[in-house]
Amino acid sequence: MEPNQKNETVFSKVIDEFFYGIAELVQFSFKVFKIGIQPPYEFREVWNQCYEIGIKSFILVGTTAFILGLVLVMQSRPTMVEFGAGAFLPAMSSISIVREIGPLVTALICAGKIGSGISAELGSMKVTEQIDAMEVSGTNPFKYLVATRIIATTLMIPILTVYADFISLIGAFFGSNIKDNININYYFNRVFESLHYTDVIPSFTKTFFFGFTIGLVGCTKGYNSKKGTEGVGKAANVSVVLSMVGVIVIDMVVTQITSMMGYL
Amino acid sequence: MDSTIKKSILLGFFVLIGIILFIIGIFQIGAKNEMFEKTFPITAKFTNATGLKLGSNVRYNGVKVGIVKTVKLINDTLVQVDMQIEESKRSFIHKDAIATISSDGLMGDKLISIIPGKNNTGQQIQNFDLLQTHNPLNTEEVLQTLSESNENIKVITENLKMVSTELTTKNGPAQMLYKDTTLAKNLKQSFINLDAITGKVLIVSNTLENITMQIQNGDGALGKIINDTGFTNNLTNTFNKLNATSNELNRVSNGLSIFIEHANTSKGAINMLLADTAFAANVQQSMQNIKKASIGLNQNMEALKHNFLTRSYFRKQEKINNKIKESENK
Repeated sequence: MEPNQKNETVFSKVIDEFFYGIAELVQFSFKVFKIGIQPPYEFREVWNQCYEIGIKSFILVGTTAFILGLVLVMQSRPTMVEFGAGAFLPAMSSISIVREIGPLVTALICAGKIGSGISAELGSMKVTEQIDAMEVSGTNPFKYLVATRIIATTLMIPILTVYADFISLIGAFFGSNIKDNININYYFNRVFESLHYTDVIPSFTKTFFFGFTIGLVGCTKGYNSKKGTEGVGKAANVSVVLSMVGVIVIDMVVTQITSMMGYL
Repeated sequence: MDSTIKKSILLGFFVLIGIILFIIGIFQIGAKNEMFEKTFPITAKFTNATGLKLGSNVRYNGVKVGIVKTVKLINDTLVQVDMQIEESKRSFIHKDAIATISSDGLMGDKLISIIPGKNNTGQQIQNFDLLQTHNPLNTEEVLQTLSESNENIKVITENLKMVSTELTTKNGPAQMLYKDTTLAKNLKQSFINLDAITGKVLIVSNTLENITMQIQNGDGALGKIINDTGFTNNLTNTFNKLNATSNELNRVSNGLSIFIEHANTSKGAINMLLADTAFAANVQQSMQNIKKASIGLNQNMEALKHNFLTRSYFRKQEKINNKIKESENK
């Protein structure tokens, strides 16, 4: 059922659409797990999607991460120096980058780039009836198109985050060296000295959820897009917005859980 | 080469490098957190463990030797901190080592700083040993003290300002002290005099010291007074006798007092002698008469010396007297 098909609303049109969207996402995720674990597996398509998502996003993610690391240190340095805490710049930048900036920036960029791409691609296929054609030809479009993309985003976002963290730390190192003269060994020694597993593991774990959310939202909105090309554009737009909101909500929940476990 | 294969190679490289970076990061963090080093546990108890947390550094004489494993409350006043210390550092840490909570710089993370004990027993620390602790310096107390110091400094600065103003004010007493060369010369001379006096005082002091030494050794009268027990006994006897004499004198004095009082009050001869003016006039008249009689008697005696009847007697007497004088002279 879709809301307003018979001009009947439960709450209101907007609220009904919101809850319908949530239900759609939950149904879609169950379907992904149900169909995704059944053979035959589409390894080749997963591999292709990993390439599309990982390699093609790397330059964008890497550049953004480098600039963010650089800017973070340049912005923080005057205040920290004013408080006599200039020596803590490596520790501050490493904790900020690994805990929050790296995963969140990677996820948001991927939500914009990959989420909209997936949604637009699947929406186009839907409105041009390519998905129906696949069903007719005996290929399970859900397994081939949706599950592969969600698996690819779930696997690639963590790897992109590792790169983003590393590149961002290098950016922070360059940022520190603009006005100071810090040895790279000293810098990375301080970086790893100030980090703990309690910083790395929660932030790395949440990137899998980020990836899953981006893939799931993108595929759901694209797969269920309506009303021709207009619907494709709308699906891409909603996909980006929902992915970003989902990423931020997951980030908040993970941070809260980490705090409750006493790791913050 | 097929583009699909190229893509696969590129993706494989990308994924591998990503995983390697992740593993390097994990190993580096593990190495910094003593994950791959053999460690042993020790414990310390503090009344306040503000800022300490899992993974906080433990340093011995400023060198990192371990990390904090757990921080837990054990009663209403004590916090138990369990630490993991590198096995290779065991030989440096002794049983009497002292643990304190300090911070990495003024605003840095809290850490446990272990310092060597004063006894230096030489006994190596063992597993689960409980370290002595010094409670950490409370930042609020430090700030409170600093605040009080600031208040004091403010007062001192104001006083200094007043002194400085006095010094720069023309013709003020402070400036006179500051710029008056005569006064400075006088002061200098006073100090020279004081120096000389001090030298003399030193000499006097030395002399007094010598005297004291002599007294202590029993030399001299004072030394004997203080040290000679026989002399002391004699002195005591003397004082006893003096006391007895004094008592006797007191008694005589009392007697005299009674006598004088009696003489003054009674109508006896003495009172008449002392108080009766008519009697005194009679006595005076009598004395004048005696004086006159004495002169007359002298004249009579002189006449007798020249009288032929008595002249021989006087000559004999003169001869006898001369003989006595000659014998005395011989």
